[in-house]
This record gives sequence, structure tokens and C-alpha cells, in this order.
Amino acid sequence: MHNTTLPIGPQHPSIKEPMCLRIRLDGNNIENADLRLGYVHRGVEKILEGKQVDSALYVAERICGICEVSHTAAYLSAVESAMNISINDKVKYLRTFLIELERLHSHLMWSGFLAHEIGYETLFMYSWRERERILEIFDKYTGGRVHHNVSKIGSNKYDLPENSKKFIFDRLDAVAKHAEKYRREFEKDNIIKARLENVGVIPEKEAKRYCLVGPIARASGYKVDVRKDNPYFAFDQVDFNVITRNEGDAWARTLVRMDEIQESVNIIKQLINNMPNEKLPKPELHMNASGEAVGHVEAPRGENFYYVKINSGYLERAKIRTPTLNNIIILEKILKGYELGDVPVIVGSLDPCFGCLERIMVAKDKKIEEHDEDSFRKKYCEIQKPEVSYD
Amino acid sequence: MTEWVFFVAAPFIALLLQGIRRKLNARMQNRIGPPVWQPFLDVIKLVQKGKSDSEGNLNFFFVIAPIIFFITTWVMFLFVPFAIWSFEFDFLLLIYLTILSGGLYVLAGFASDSPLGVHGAMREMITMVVYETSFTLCLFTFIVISGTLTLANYPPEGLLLQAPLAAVILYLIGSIELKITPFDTAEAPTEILEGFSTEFSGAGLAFLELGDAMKFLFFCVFIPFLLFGTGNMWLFALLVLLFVFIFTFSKVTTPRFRVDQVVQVYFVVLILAVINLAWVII
Repeated sequence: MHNTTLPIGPQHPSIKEPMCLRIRLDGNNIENADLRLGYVHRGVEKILEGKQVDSALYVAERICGICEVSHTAAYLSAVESAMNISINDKVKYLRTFLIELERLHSHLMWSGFLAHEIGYETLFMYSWRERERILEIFDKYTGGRVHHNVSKIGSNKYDLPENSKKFIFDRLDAVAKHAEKYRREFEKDNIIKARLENVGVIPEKEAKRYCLVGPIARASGYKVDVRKDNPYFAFDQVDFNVITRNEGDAWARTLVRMDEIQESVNIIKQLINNMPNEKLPKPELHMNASGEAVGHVEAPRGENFYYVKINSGYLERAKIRTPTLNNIIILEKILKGYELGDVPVIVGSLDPCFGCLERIMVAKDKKIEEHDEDSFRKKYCEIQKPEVSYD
Repeated sequence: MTEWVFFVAAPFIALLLQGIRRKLNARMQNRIGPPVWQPFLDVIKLVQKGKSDSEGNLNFFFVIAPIIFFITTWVMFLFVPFAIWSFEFDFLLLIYLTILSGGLYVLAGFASDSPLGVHGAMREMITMVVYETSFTLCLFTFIVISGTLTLANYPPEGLLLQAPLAAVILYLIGSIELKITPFDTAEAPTEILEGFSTEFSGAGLAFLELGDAMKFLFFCVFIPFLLFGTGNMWLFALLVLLFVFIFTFSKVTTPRFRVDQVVQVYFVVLILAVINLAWVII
């Protein structure tokens, strides 16, 4: 029974999205791991090219189901700075409000997911119950629980409904109270600690070397957060802490996320209390603008980066770099030396989001081709000009 | 007569207890849960389904292991709680049967010819070395105290007061035998997709599930039988339900240990079992 290769995925209970991890085992210990992706590739960047900037927003919103707002916000941030559109404080506050709500829902969902990985189904059910409260707030404001469609270039479709402050605060208080309880469970429970402590350790040096982002970097003591480093929307007007820990293991990553839930609740309360009394500008179409810019947003998993080049109101090029792309690279390295039972914990603690990640990779004829930007464009995106003869 | 009715109805009672357990589990997790008769529907559905045609599964042990597993667990009810089939040294045969049912589980895992099944079987074997030894030592304590090797002569008032430490050991052994968290490492759905039963389908899986349900009933009956005896049948039935609740509560409120951690815990249990036996003998 020495040296077996065990496939984890593409369909497996410990991963929520399709990926294949082929693990080479020596007995029960991992010798090496081989990550294969490409199961949900949709060619989003190519779809975006040539679209009118207002309609491309609808594609950006649908890149990911979990971090939908972050993609929208990063896209809008890039497009607005490319076209020199300034937005008023009201719009800034509303967007910040949505981004933080999304962080809450993503972290709660993730904490339940990690509990499921280590066989703690009850905590999984309870965490998702709290997430439901956040989805209710989304539903009240946008009419959609997962996909919201409220953002417009330079504006927002709707204002917060009247008298919704109590509705939102009630739910936030309940979430904060219960999340604190679950945090204590993660921090104090001996079995959870035995499963998470010293598993998948990433030292700070490695975190910097691999350019990790988000809670994973912060759990290794690498203080990187776009909200503080380069404040966008209303993040310069709210008071919050960047949570860091120094252990760098799966346990630290869990606690960083659980602490961020409390910070997010505080941010949202500040935003609602200080919401400016301005009118939302009327959304308009942008047919003639040109420009080139980048936008970045701190998504629940880390920095979400957009580059856009606009020509006469149409996207000439869009480049998206999602946080999972930065974070997944270290997976094969940190899996080595641990045992089979640690695989779900390590994969789960990185919180990969493959809907975001997979945009440039082609699975064809059972062979996976990996491309950089240029070779991908050359092979698949260049329009073949028909040969015209004038004879 | 009651004895034979209980023996014949054991699979049905076991499935009903599974239903109660699932309902309890769901209520504790803030869910509605399936109806109590859901395990019956599951087994009926599985029996109606065909088996998989995978080439790796066309071996004799793959077909036979679930059936023998089911029969072995059923036969255990000939001895406990009513001594229907009684002879000298039947206590030892019962110990052998409980170990055999674990062994057949391992056989099913190896016979499934899948890396996941083999890993499940390996994990079970690693832990079996420790927990079956503790189980046997713990049962020897009861043999020494009661001074009998025949279950028909077992004292009907139970032996909890003479061996209180054995109660803790039996509960821990029950948890790992029944694959209840934190000791369900051998099944671990998120790690090895339930190991043994991954490759099984149709009637084979139905027999495995039935066997599992009956093993659960057996331990819920066997532990009160040893500790509290069968003197008062109503009290005994209540205690059986209490153990169903305790095991369900344990499953709901704990995460899962890793395999090396399970072995560490059961080394402590083994030491406890030795101390328990030594204390009783001295």
C-alpha cells in the first residue's frame, strides 16, 4: 500500500468547486501534490473584450457567485478612473456597505465550510444560518440574495429603503453575537485546535515571496490590505483595524477571518450611521469615453485587481487578477509532508474560489495547456484574416 | 417468545432507531430532518437498484463481505440482551463476533479495490489494534467480577458499581466501533468519502447500511446490559434510548480527530482498561 496516487476531485465533498488534486501518497503521508484546474473556464476576459462599458458590467457581475460585489466594484473603480467620472459620497458609502456585507457573508459561509471539512456538521449549519441573515439584508436592499445588479457606472440604482436601519442593525447584532460564539468555539475547542494548529504553516517570508493576499497573508503576519494601503470608496472615512496574526497556520487563518467578521459589522454600522443625505445621480450611458486604468478592491479573499482599456466607449482589453490566483500557487508546496487527513483542512483554509480563478487555461483533447497572456491570445483570440485574392 | 420476537425484529428496530437518530441529529442542528421511517425507504430503494459493473468489483469478497457483515451483526442478538442461544463460554464467542464484524468491514474496504476503500480499511486496521484490545480487556473485567463465562448467568442488576471506570471505556469503544465523531476517522466523508462503502451500490450497500444500523442497536443494548442489567425491562428500554441520545449528542457536538490523534486517545483508553482490569483482579 505504499506510493498510491489518490485523486481529490473534480467532484469531492471536501471541495466546493471543481478542481483536481492528484496526491502522491507514501503510506498516509503526502509526497507531492499536483493541482489541475480548468473545469470551470469560461473565457471571461475574451467575452469582456469588445463590449460596451455599461453592458460589460453585467459580465463582470457574473464572474463569481460569492464575491460578486467585489468584481463589480473593482470593475467600476477601474472604468470610472479611466473615464474620469467622479462619484458622490452617497454612492461611495453604498458601495462600501455592499462590499462589507459581502465579506460578512463570505467569511460566515467559509467558517461553516471549514467546520464541515473537519466533520463538525452542527457548526456548519449554525454558521450558514447566520449567513442567511446577511442574505436577508441583501434581499431587502437589492432584491437579490446572491446576484444584486444594483451598481451602475457613476451611480447606484437604488438608495437604501426607508426605515431599514433597524432591520439591518437587528440582523448585524445577531450575526456579531453568534459569530463571537463560533469564534470562541474555534479558539477554545481542543479537537478543532488539534486539527488546525500547525497545519499548512506559511511563514511570513514565504507569504511575501509568493505574493499572498487577503486573510491568508494577514494570518502569516504580512499586513496587506487594500482598504488601508490604498483606500477606495468610503474606506478612508471609517475606522477599522487590519487583523493580523503571526502563527501562519490553518488555525490562525480561521481566527483572522472570524475577527474580520466583527470588524466588518463595525464598519457597516459606521456607514449606516454616517450615511450622507445626497441624491443618487441618474445613471447614464457612456458611449464616447476613452482611457486606460486599473482598479483594485479588497475582496473577501484578498486583492481583486482589474485593468481596463477603453476605446470610444468599448472595452478594448480587460485583465482580471483575482486573489485565488495569488493564493492557490502555494498549495502544492504547503501540502507536502502532511498527511491525507490534513488535505481538506489545508485546501479549505486557503478558501479557493475557482469561479474567480479560472479564466486563462484551456482543457482540450485531455491535455491541459497553460498559457500566459500572449500565447493564449496568439493561439485562441487572434482573428484569422481571410485571405483575399484580387486575381 | 419475547426473545425470539426481539431477535426477528432486530433489523426493523435498528432501522427505526436510525430514523430517530437522524431526526434527533437534525433537530439539534436546527433542521427539520427526514421522517423517522426514512431508513426503511433508503434500504428498499437500495435493494431495488442494480450493482455497479466496475471490473475491480468483480471479486468474491466484494459480493460476500456485506452479507456476512450483516449476518454476523444479527447473530450477536442471539446472546444479548436475551440469552436465546446459551452455552458455556458464549461470552468469549460474543467478543469474537464483535471483532469479526469490524474485520469484515476491513475486508469490504480492501475488496472494493479503490484507493479510498483501501485507505478506509487501513485506518480501521490501525485503530482496531488499539481499541479491540481495550474492548476485550474491558469485557474480561466483567467476566472476572461476575465470575461467569455464560451470558445467561450474567447478574440482572448490572455491574456499574463494581466497575465504574469500565463505563467510560465502553462509551469510548462504542464511539469508535459505531464511527461516531470525534472517532469516525475510518469513514471521514470529507477525506476519503466514507472509505469502505465508496464503491458499494445496490443490495451490497443496503446490507452494509443495515449492518451498521444493527451494530448501532447492538452497542446501545450491550452497554446498558453490562452496566445496568436487564432486571427491569422498562428501565432497560429507557436506558437504550438514553444511549441513542448520548451517541447522537456526541456526533452532533464534536469534530473529527485525525488518525494519529485517534490512536493516541485509544492508547490512553488501553491503559485505562489495563488499570481497570488490574484493580478488579486485585
